[in-house]
Amino acid sequence: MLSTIRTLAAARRLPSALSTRLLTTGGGAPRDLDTSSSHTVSLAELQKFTSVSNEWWDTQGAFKYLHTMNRTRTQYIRSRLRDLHPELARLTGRTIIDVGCGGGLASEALARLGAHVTGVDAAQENIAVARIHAQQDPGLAGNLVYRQCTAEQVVAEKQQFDAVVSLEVIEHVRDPVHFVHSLVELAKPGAPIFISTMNRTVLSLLVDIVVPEYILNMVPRGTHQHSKFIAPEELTEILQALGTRVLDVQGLVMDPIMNKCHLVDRDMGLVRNAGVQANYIMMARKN
Amino acid sequence: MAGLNATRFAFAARALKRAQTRFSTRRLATAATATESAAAAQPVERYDIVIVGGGPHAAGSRPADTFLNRTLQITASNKLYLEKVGSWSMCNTERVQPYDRVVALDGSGSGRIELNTPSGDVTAAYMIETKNLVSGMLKFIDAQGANIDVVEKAKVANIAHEAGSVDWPVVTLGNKRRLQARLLVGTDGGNSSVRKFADIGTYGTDYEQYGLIATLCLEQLNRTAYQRFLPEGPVAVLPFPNGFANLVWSLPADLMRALKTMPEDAFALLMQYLYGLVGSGASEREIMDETKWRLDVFAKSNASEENWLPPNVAAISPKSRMSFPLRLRSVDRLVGSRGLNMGIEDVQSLVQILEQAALAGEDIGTVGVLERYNRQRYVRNLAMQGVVDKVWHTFSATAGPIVKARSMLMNGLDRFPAAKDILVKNMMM
Repeated sequence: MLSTIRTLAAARRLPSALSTRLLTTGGGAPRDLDTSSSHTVSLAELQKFTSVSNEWWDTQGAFKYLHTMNRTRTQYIRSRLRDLHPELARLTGRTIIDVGCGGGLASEALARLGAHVTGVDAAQENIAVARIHAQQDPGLAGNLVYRQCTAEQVVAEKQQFDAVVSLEVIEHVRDPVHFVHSLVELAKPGAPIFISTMNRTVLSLLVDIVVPEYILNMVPRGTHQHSKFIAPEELTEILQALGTRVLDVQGLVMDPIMNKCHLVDRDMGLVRNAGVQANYIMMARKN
Repeated sequence: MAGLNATRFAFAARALKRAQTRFSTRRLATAATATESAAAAQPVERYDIVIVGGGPHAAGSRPADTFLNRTLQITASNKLYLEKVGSWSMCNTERVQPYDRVVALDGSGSGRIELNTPSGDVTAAYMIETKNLVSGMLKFIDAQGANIDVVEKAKVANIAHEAGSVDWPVVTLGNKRRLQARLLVGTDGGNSSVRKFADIGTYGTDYEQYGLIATLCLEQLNRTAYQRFLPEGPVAVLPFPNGFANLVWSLPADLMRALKTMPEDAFALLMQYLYGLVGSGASEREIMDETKWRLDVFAKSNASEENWLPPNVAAISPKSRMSFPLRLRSVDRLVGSRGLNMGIEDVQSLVQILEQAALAGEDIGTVGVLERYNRQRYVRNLAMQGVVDKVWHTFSATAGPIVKARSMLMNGLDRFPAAKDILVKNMMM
């Protein structure tokens, strides 16, 4: 409860505090910057992922269910973008930034759908893995750029995109409000922002931490901290406070037996929030 | 197919027979040693999907007065699929014969079974000439526009990975054209060059049988498919419009040679007692007498829809006899089934999986995607292989008890309409 209150309080007083911070971190070539000094990426988090970055593209390894979920996330993003732009058969020509792209699972998928994707990640190893993997598909050339940098660095360059995507990232950042603010800054006016993460519930403790990290031993222990998970109401409030309108939220429910991931409505039947007890994806649109 | 809009396809025609392929490869190798840089200079053309073996060449005029001997039986559900895709309506439907009745006879015993579709107005299957279906499909591809290239009259000289390039296979054609594929699909038959490249082995019984096909001219119109399980192999007379029929006969090599080389009128006569005398050891004189008697009997009969035997054969279409080896082998992983109808089901499954993967932005050439296809199809194909083997061994048996049991089974089954309906439904699936 305490963290919720803190988060919401931060959301309300953020804009003025943020502008000074951006001025101080702005400028300079992205690669020269010391990523550990960034406001939203904690060093401990960075090292955690570096140790497993080579496993990113192993569809049977630690990221097996992330690969499965990525298919569903991509289909969701694709169909929502088509709702906004029914005239587009594909995502051709749309610019998308994937913040915290990791090994590039979502970036590659979106680039294959025709978008011009910029994948950014603070971890050098992730970017290296993503770049090497992208070379295996010549169809991606020209549609996909990876940069080792933080969201704030791209904000400082005053770049804006037709869509902003950040999937399974916000639960790892130190200051989620500041992070969301960066995402909003990266969006052109009217552009959609997609965030997927985990709700802070008993169910998410079980399906996102206890089972994968302690029972199946599929995901390294300590990958996730339950206290950093964010409830959809909290994320909605942060997004609305930062000048966006939340248009949709849906649950991402894993079926580990068939290895499929399903999109479910937030309220299943009469039970409020039943569909978003664990993983969910939210879409907001910048005003 | 929205997600596949930008996907480019290439069809390379059927791979050559083994000897020719080897020859081409060798020539290519010689050329490479002489002018290595020239051989390497041919740039690769990249495609999302390259399909090797797009079916027989379909151009050329079609005889109006007879039917071609290379035919396909399309099940009702597969015909629906082809209709939905849009290629069925591009075929010449006047040359297609629907049928809803199948009579199966046992060869040396006296078993028989008649299969009708459960309700009279449903069609069990459609007889269509291979060339008719393929030209319909090519017309359909033409109408699709720019995303599909058809490479006609092409031989596959070589398939290999290219050093220093992406991990996609490069298909080198006889004319040195090089196609690099994200996903390489081999539909090039039993001696598939794609299967060899992928190092996929085969297993199963090599039946050492040959197929003999011919176009028959019947004395009556016919809408029934007749199948007879002779110990030497099954023989089928399949209906075509205007009193034509397609003969498909599976035979051992020596019999095939005799039947293929005998005069056409003698062959037509033989066809008349095929359903009576083959395998009985009758002499030539007896066969001729029997044939003449049958000609008489059939001339008087006209109730073909009730018959257990096909209408009389008046003649054989000139030069319509043709034979080919039957290679009834299966492959050990990640590939499709044999037989066109199972093949169309494979295609439906693969298209659905590729479409879903493309819409999710996945790389359709990766093992992770193709495994889904394998999961869907492998078990069914394995089961089919088992059925084919069992049918084969049952009907090639001549031992008394087995023949007796087989006849009892067929006759027994014929008296249980419910069991027959299940059989028919499974055949139509």
